[in-house]
Amino acid sequence: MSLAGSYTSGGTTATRVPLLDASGSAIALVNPASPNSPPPTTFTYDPSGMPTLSGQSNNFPFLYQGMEHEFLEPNQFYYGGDGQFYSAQIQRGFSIAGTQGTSGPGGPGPRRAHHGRHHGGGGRGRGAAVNGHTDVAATADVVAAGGGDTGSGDSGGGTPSSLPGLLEDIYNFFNDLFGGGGGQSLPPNYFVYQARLQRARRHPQYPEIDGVAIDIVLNQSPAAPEFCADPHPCAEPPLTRTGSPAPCMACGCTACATIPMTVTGYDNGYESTGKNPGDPAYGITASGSVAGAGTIAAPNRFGYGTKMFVPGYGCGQVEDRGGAITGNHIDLWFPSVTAARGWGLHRNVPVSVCQ
Amino acid sequence: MSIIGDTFVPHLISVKEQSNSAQIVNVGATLCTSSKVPNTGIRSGTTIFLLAALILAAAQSVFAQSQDIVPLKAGSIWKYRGRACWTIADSTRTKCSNIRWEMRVLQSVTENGKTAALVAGFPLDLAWYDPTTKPGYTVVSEDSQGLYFKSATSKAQAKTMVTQALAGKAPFQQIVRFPIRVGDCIGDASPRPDKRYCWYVRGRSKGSARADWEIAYETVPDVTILSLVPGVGFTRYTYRHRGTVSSVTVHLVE
Repeated sequence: MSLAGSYTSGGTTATRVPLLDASGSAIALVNPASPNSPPPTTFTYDPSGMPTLSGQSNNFPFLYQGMEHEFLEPNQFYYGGDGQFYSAQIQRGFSIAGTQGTSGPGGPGPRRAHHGRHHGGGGRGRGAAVNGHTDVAATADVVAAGGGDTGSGDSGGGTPSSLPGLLEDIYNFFNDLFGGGGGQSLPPNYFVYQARLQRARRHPQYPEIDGVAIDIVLNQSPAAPEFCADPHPCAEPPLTRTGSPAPCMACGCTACATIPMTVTGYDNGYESTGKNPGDPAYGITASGSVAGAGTIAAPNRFGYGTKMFVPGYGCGQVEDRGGAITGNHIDLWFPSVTAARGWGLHRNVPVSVCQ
Repeated sequence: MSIIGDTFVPHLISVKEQSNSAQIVNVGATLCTSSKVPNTGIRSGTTIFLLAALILAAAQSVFAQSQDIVPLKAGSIWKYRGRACWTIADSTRTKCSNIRWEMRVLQSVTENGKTAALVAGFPLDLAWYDPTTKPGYTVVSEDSQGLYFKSATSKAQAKTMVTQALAGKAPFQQIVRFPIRVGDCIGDASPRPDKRYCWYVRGRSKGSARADWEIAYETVPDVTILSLVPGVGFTRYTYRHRGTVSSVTVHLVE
């Protein structure tokens, strides 16, 4: 139970208390006058911010309470089939392609039409607008391996027959993550993405997968160049808050290293600098370029032009310095002070640095 | 201390204070001469010679001290107070608080007219302040050309850097160049018209009776401002980041 609120509808004022799930989202409104009765209003929603309401209609102000929080939590996948949240972490984000075109014994995953929706909290996701989404949806397959450690990279464990609904939703989840709504395309490289899903909580419907890891493999095309000289540095970055994986290759890198960094956001807007576009030296970076989407301020040891992939932001290039941007700290450009502050401050972000 | 227009020349300080010292010495010598020593030509010549030697010694002593734009003597402490705002890690939430800060010279070595000091709590450590921020170690050096600094990752490294600074081996960042002149842009090989990305001498702080110089390092992402009073040190430090909230301003209080 959480904060109560009142709303007026049709001249009648009602008090309702939002019932929150573990992630803090309102899943129902309870009438405090009769707490033992079924909630008069329930919400069924997905992480894309499209909740549906059942029961008594209302204009309760807490309808979306908690949802933003959920989107700020990394790697969460809400599976409506069991009403649970799953977290995903890449185990071998980008590996050397060796199984061209295969999708494992489980066969291609089911497909549904794109919802045309963006993850990231209805546009509130960090940096979502900076580099767009990547699109590997066209030939994406889903393979699930029940049990075992995904660290083995074995994607051939088959699809647990009892989980088709879950797999379908996983498929669509990743489909959307990778830009089902459009955006820039990945280079035409064979694209292998393996993720690990873990149930947040046990659910009676799928007791056998509680705590079980699931490999997700998305294959884009059967071309298979090795895009990282050392796959390990590229293998670590997790899914991002905006739903993009860490495609160092999408930044045009041939090799990369992952460095845990403190990441902040800056802007060159009027509120911050007192200068408008057109003013002399408006947004002129240390390298002489004009600060814009993808501009990164980094310490001197990163030369100008160094490309980086920052989870939650996307690809960027070092073009700027900061008086106090030192050590393992980088600063990302945003188009407004609001957006920059909306990014906040994050420590130990696994930034992929092109070598 | 001499300020001529918008230029600060430490050597002029020396000359002036040398003159004061010389007068003191001279008065003492005169008293001595008048009371105990017969006023003969030979003795007068000796006295003049001794006086000249004393004046020279005094001048050298004062000259060495006069380079102390920031008095880098071991044990020196500067105490600051001010206010900081920061963004709580892994969030967008911010918080502000009054803060106290201390800069302390732990070690100081002077060789060949160059002083290098191991400093704890250099004001620049306050950038990106949050309650976990602790004073770091910085080596600050000064010679006849200017003031330099370089931060260290540990006290041991800083001690090594002191030696390097004296030997002129470590790549230190110059923050002040003598003579100090308004409009100087220090540390940028190719100064920009907007005076960014260098230590820019903005001028003397308005409304201040003291000769404090405002020196700023401005970039697109952030700005750092130091007020420097020759002979006193840094009297104010301001850092402001543009975007993610991080700002600090502290003033010297004692």
